[in-house]
Amino acid sequence: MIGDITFGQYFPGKSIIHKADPRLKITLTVAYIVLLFIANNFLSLAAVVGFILLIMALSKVPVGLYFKSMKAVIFIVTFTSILNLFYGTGEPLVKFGFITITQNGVFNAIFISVRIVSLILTSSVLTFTTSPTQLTDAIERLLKPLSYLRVPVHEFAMMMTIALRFVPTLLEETDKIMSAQKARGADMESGGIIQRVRALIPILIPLFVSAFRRAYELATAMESRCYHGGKGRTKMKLLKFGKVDVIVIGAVLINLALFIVLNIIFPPSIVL
Amino acid sequence: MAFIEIKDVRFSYNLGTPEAKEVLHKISMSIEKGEFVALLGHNGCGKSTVAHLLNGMLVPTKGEITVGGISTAAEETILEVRSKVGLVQQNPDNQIVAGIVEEDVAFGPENLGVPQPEIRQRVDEALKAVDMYEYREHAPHKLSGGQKQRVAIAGIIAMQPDCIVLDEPTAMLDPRGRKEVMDSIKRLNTERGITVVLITHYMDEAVQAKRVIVMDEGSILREGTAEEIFSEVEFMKRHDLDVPQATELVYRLKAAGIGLKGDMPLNTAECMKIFEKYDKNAV
Repeated sequence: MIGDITFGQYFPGKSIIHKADPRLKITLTVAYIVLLFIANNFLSLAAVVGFILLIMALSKVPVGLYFKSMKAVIFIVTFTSILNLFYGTGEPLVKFGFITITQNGVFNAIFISVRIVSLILTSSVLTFTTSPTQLTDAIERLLKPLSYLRVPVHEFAMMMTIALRFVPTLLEETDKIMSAQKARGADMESGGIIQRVRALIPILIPLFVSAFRRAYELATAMESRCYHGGKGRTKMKLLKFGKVDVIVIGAVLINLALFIVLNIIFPPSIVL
Repeated sequence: MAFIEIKDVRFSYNLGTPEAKEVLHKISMSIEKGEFVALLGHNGCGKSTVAHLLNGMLVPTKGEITVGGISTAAEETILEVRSKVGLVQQNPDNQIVAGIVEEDVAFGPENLGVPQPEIRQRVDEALKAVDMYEYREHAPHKLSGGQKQRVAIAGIIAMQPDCIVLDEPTAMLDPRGRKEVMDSIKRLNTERGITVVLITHYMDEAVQAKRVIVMDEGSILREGTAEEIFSEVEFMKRHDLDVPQATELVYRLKAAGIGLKGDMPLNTAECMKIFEKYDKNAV
């Protein structure tokens, strides 16, 4: 049950998208999410979504994994699109008593679902093709300007690295504690929601105690290995901006130009 | 002066509180470069405290410890001490920092500010030294206990220390993992001349050391070669310590009045030699 968590999973590979600089990937992910929400007609939206689909294809990650990542948001997508469907303005297309569906409502519903789905797909491309270490490294570099404002960027990145490193360890431990408590007669599967939440207490307490012990030992290990903050620290793996990145940027610029033209020339398909 | 000098060291936890308790009572010892020393004693005798004192994780309440002439108590030279004396702890899970083996091994050299191309070289070399090179791109949580502990050792080696202190490194491992780790430790000592201080519960590991130190209740009881220490079976038993199985067997046979000749054996091979010399009719 716990092993099913696939969010932020890394899928190792050697595709163009895997090789691209993680800093570029993060920046582009953010940029494309913004574009998704700026797009106001079907053609410009198609230009953005088409590019995302192209990137997905180039990533060579099995399509099944992308579908899997959608599971978590199916509810939100259906819920918001149904809401939008009924709250359209303008001439009604269909009328059932108090329910009216307008063309504008239908368009809004399609738009919002395409946006949410593409948003998840875009971030999935990022996490599927970028290892956690690359991600934290890139975030550290991108946020570096903030360190001049005394924001502890290095510490933040180190915390992320350690958190990611301990996710599997702590999940494994949770499983062990659950089995141990079940063996002692703990009941976690029956009862109402309150009872079930209560049943979590005997799992969480040992988990926390052990997490603190681990933290203490890890701190000792880190200090033993001369860790003294980000000052004077070097890196084994340097992020390099390569040929692949130039090609990606070129493609993005062409796509961006197309998007701007489409977004300006054609009238908006939705009214917000 | 020896490489590591421990002089009249006392240590108390929770100093200045009502729970203050002295766990080390004026101990002294010296460790030469290239030595392989085993530290024995049952739980709570202060062995782990000694381990943490050796690289300045803890500082003596009284007395002084020097590593290559540098005191471990000085704040400004502590990094130098720690890069000379590496510490490996019991639980490998809790000393691996990064999510990929080679990145974890690089952690120490990165902290020391080693230039980038040299880090790569050190990491590869350290991983080869513990036979983990082919796993360099794996995630640590998918490795076995013995493999994880060897990664932890590689992480120390990559800092190129003169000495490694191992605090019960095999306590959480299965027999195979224990053998892997012990083989790595021995190789580092013989092939690279790295000083090893091994704290252990397993007597079969302790006999592999050149010098054995026995502690109890915060004091050093005995110090000598493995042969000297383990031939005193009664002394070890009095202090709730085991002796290697081969030693135990010969000890019991002798006690039962069977006339075996020769010194106390430390391992199976030596034990077999004694049995071969046994002459039934001589009794």
